[in-house]
Amino acid sequence: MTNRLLFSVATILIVLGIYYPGVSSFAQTKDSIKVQQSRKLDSVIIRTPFKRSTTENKRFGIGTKLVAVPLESLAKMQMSSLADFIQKENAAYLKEYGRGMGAYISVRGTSASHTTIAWNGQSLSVPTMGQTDLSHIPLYFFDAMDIHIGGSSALYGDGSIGGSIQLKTKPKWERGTHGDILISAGSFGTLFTGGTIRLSDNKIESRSSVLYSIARNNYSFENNTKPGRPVEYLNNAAYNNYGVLQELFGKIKNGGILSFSLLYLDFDRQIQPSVSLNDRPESYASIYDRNFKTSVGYNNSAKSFSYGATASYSYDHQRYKEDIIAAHTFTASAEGEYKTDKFTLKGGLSGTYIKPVVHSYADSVYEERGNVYLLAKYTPFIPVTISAGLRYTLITNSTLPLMPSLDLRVMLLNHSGHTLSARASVSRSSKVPTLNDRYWGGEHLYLQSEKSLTAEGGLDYSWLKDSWSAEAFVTLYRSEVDDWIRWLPAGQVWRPQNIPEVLSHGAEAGLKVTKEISDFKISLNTNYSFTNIVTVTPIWPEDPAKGEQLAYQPKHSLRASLRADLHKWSLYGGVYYTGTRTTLDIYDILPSYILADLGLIYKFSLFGENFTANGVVKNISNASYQNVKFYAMPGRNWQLSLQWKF
Amino acid sequence: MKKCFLRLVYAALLLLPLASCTKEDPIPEVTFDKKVLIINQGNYSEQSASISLFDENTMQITNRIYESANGISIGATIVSGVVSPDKEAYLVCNNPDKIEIIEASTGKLKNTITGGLESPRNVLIAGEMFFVSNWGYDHIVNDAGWWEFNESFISVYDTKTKTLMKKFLVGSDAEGMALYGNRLFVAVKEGVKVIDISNANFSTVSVIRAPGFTGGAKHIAFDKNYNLWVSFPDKGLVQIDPVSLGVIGTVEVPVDAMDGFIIPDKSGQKIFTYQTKFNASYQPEEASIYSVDVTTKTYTKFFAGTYFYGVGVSPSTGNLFTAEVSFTSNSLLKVVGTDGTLKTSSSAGIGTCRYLFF
Repeated sequence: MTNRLLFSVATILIVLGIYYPGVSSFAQTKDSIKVQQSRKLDSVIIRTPFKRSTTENKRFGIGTKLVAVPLESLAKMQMSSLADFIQKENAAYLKEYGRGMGAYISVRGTSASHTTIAWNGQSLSVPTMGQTDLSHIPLYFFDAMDIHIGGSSALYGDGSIGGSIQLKTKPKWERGTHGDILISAGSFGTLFTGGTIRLSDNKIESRSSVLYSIARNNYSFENNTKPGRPVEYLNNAAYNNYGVLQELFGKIKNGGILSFSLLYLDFDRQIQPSVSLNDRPESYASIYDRNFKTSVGYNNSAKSFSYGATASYSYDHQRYKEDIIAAHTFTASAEGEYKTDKFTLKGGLSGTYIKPVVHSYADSVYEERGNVYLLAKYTPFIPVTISAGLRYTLITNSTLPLMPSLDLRVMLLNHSGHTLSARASVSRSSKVPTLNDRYWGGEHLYLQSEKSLTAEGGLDYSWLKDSWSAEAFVTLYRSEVDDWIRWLPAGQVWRPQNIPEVLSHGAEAGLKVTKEISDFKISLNTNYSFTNIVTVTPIWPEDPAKGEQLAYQPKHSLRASLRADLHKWSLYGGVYYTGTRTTLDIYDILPSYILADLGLIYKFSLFGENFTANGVVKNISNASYQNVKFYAMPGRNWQLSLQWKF
Repeated sequence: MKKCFLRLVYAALLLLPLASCTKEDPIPEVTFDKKVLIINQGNYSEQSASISLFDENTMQITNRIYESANGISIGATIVSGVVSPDKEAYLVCNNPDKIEIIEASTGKLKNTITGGLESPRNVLIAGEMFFVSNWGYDHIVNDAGWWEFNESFISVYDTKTKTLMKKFLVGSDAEGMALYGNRLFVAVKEGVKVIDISNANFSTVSVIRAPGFTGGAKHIAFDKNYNLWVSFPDKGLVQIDPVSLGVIGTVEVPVDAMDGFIIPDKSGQKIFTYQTKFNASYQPEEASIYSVDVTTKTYTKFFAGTYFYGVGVSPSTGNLFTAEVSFTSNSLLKVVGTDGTLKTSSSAGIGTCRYLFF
């Protein structure tokens, strides 16, 4: 009863938009120091008696930029993929090979494999390829997300050179039966259907979700490889996918929480041809992916000590023509934490066994990993917080250096509604070569692990006065990546090589402003990134690309969105700018482009049930653009959805 | 005789890989503007081929002239090309398969051929006809695990109308071609296939292979005596008399296994070949261009670098053109004088591989 009351109160506070002084409820709430968190009351920081887990590792990254995305922000895009969300909401660059096709994130100019993507701590990247296709991750299944720009291997393990995306599902502990049904239809034969049901008696909770989506993707585009740039209709770009998520949570007598999760995703996708191959059926192909992930975990706490353990298994399977790339991954991990008012110490260890099933590998190939880490955070006095981390990984047929981090945050100002904090971080991250890097077509054990040394600093500012609130941040960073792995030709074959040194430096900035008058609320959210990433020391000293911006890395990227809420209506829109960038050819400059969306949400009740209708027009200016050269992207298109929440 | 040979050499260089000629009936003399169309093959998966224009008068390069002239991209890889006597460049493209015909001096697109092509490799213009070697799409996997295109064929087109006239099978992995009189020489895995093109059947006259020379033939060049030189990357070069079809001699000289391209020097007294070596970590260790004396059949190292992927010789200046390449970055064009010293270098496109002089 007490728990239900807590949730009720919290829900009311959220809906009414009541805050403690100095904090606003933006679509994406900036992670901040403890002092700031204590002033914020939204769904992210609600404390419940059910918390039995250790502190999330992100809490130790106090000197870096973290974007915590609550469910409310995900809601309007639940029928979309993580790729769509990042493309609209974050200034990180997304390399997209068409609508709903392969989409790979690049944070601070690093490669897709330099950003770890995990679900409740379980990696979503395919171990053979070491990267995650963001178009394969349906937002519908997830309750929250953290986007940790800059990342840190000490926090998230090897691979977090550019950043980390942590997707979450969690129990709600709402007694009874709850859930939703979401249906959506859009241009180019796009349909999405999802359903979720949560059953809870406040001791055991079951969450079951299913989804199914299809698209024909037969949109028109301008063919920039034919004289006159004729308008054609895209061929061979359809996809369909379905997924199942089942979770069980149970409170056991000693106060611990037992959890079980199972996720299955199935994608059958035609591979969108380049525009020059659009009328060449002989070149058409499809790719078929299956991803199965399951885990069982236990968490508990006693006084100042929290602990947890997880065992997980995943099977990733991809078929392209007659080639199969698959892998079984078994992981067991345990962690413990000791916490006082001023000091938190957390440690963990894990072991992973990966057995690939790939025709181009030797049959004997396998991988074992052992991981141990230690994180600490200390607040000697209120304005100052220090944290540090250290991770060590042992791995089959490769070596990784120690991965340390050191963070500092100082509150400079906390007065009259103004808060200003300075933060700084230095970390050494690393990434082991993927299985493909090491074993595709032979053993390439000469490869070194990729290593980065990142230093960054920034300011976070927030302000609250009457009905106005604002948040702003700025970050400057410098990241040196050594032994970046790329595949290069070696006679009749291609083989991976280490590029001695790549340097990324740049700036990120964001501003959120909100104004509320009675039932009317309007908020502006902008994010900008400047990314300068160049090869300092190439493999070949005369490389003309030395000192030039890396391929497909725009220097400038801007995302701006505006949302106005009045009673049951919400009007939202966004403008997304992607700057010029080059292909692998430094003389081949792709034009910048601006996209704009406009949408409307209406919440209503019918027969006593709650519904949300959402309509959006995307690319309203009908801009003709290519994100990756020769891969057509859609012009103006629409999407309508209806969600019934019960 | 010498005049005839020089015209032959010039025309042969112009009409890369080689054009039709006999000792008695050389092709007409052509003039050169000391311009070079440089083919940047591009990254296969990115379809990032481009064309650069180098002016030997100013020693300056202009990149991406196709895009500048046409406002569109090629959207393919370009594996080879040739310039016709009327200064049209025929660019042999893969992925998608097509032949783009452009005005050599400007890059302006004049025609596109798509019919009759399956992984086209090289083009040879011979008056009213032109020939295109094709790997074909069918393949088998050999004992070493490599693909062999065992249904390779030649497509024959009408030069005037650009229409497909005929296709005929030639064996496996068809690559370079040369025409001597009515005999079409095609480098294939089986050796050098000789086709009689004087009759409609395009019948096979012979398949030539030197004793002890394993592996397939790749490219063909004429020397000053109108003899053919054929590259066999496994072993070296084979000299063939195009009349008797006999093997005159062999030279065991390094030939690049990936490409196998060869080219005569300005006078036809030497044949240039090249090879890039990789170390155990698959890094390019050393690239060398070798000069083979067609008389003594000895060779010397002419120029060295790190990673070469083609070679060309200017009929106007005798300068040798090559480039340091990486298919994931821009190439560095290198123009080398007849004495083997570097004259200039310039950044070019991706995978610079062929040099078309006009």
